[in-house]
Amino acid sequence: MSVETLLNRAPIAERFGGAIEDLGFAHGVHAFAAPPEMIVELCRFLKEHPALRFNFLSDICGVDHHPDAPRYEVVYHLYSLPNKWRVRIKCRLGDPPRVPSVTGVWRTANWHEREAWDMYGIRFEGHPDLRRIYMWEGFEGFPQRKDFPLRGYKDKLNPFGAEGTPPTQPDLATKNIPQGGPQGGRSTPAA
Amino acid sequence: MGGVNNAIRDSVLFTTADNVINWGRRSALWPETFGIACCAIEMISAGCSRYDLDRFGVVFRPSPRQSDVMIIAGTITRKFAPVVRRLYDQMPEPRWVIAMGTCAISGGVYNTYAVVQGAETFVPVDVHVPGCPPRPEALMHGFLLLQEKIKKSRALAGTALDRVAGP
Amino acid sequence: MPKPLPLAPASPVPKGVDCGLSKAHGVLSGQCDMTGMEFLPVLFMVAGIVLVAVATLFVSSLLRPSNPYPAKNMPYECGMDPAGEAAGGRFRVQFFILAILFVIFDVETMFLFPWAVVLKEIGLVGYVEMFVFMLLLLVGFAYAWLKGALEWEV
Repeated sequence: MSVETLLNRAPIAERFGGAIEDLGFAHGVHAFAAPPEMIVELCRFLKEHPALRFNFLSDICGVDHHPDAPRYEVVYHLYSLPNKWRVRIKCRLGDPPRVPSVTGVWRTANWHEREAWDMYGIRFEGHPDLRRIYMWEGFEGFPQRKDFPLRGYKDKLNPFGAEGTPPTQPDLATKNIPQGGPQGGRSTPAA
Repeated sequence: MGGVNNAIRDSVLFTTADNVINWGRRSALWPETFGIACCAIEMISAGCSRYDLDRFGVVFRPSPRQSDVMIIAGTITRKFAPVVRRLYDQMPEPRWVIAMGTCAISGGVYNTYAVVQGAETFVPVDVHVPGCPPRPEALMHGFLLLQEKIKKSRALAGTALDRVAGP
Repeated sequence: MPKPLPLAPASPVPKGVDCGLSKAHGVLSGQCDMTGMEFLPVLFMVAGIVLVAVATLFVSSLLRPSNPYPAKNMPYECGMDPAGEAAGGRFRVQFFILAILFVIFDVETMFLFPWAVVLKEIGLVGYVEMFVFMLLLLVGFAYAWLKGALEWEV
């Protein structure tokens, strides 16, 4: 089943024209590249346009292209439940990576963006609750970045880790939310 | 340890009591179901009808307060380790730990920033059952090894009687 | 002395309550008047039960390891620190109110039993009297209901 014949790209080209680059059909899904400032508008258009109706956000993921520049990328995978179309939107970001949040368009973006923040450090502006979702509260560093060592940094509980400490993030957005861990959410687990 | 203490401890009364109590403890090992990851599936299948664990007196209990042994089945992440430790702490003594699967023994294939390299780093483990995942027969063998360990142990260690008659 | 009913059919079961007492105790037949000494076996049984339980627990306390420490004594909440209202020491007073109401109405129910046993002797007057009693308690129940004592949420 070829998506090319199904996905109606005309409205997108008509509305955005040259701002959105059409990346063509790759890996079974049609892809577009958009600049970060147009993301929210594009997503809202894709969701609300009567011919397109991409009402399901499948995934938001971050990518680290180190040492290429721009280093980071955010990829949105959308699915249209009424039309059964898939589309991918890619957004290249510089360093430090900032992009507006699409939680206003799809509520499910909340956790996907928290994951991208936790793993890559991509800051989503306008996100209501940007804090770590996989790593524990107080964890420093962004594990999926290419310069983060696989075994982590050496500390009391991780004897196989690399020497050194992760670069501290001055704008780490951890709110004071009771996490309810056995130590009441202290930084080092089982300390 | 004086000779008198040894005599008391090796007396017929105490060794018989040890034998009886140890028999009771090893024949009715109630594990706390603590399936974290894929090894839990093999633990469940060991408890089901084909590789029945119930014939060893093993009844899975949902709460740590009612269990004797904790089967740590699966990968322990660093975020989850305090929970495992707390649950181990909440088990009444005598208690034992079976580390099932390579992830629980040593972190398995996951030598990464987020995985604890072995349950032994924060709980004392009695029996290691290797495998990825270990077959149900391997888990049964682990239980039998634990039963033999209990058979050789002193049942009254840490009790009031032991404090009176011990060192 | 109660008269036997004139139309009662002859039955193998003797009329009246059989207390196991003979005439030698000076008891009128058909009337049940148990002395304190008759309860002695019950006392022995209660004492025996208490002794067995205490002895079991005592022997068990000698034979078991005792190693309490703070993490072990914490309330179980799936490995996390206890969270919520009860954990914070806040006790719902509705439990207490319901318990008090239960005690009151349970005592009322308890009074119904001896009344039912002697209903035949006390006749219509006794019947009406009990209903007056229940009506008075019903007024109290209505008051509790209307005042919101039975509400569970605050």
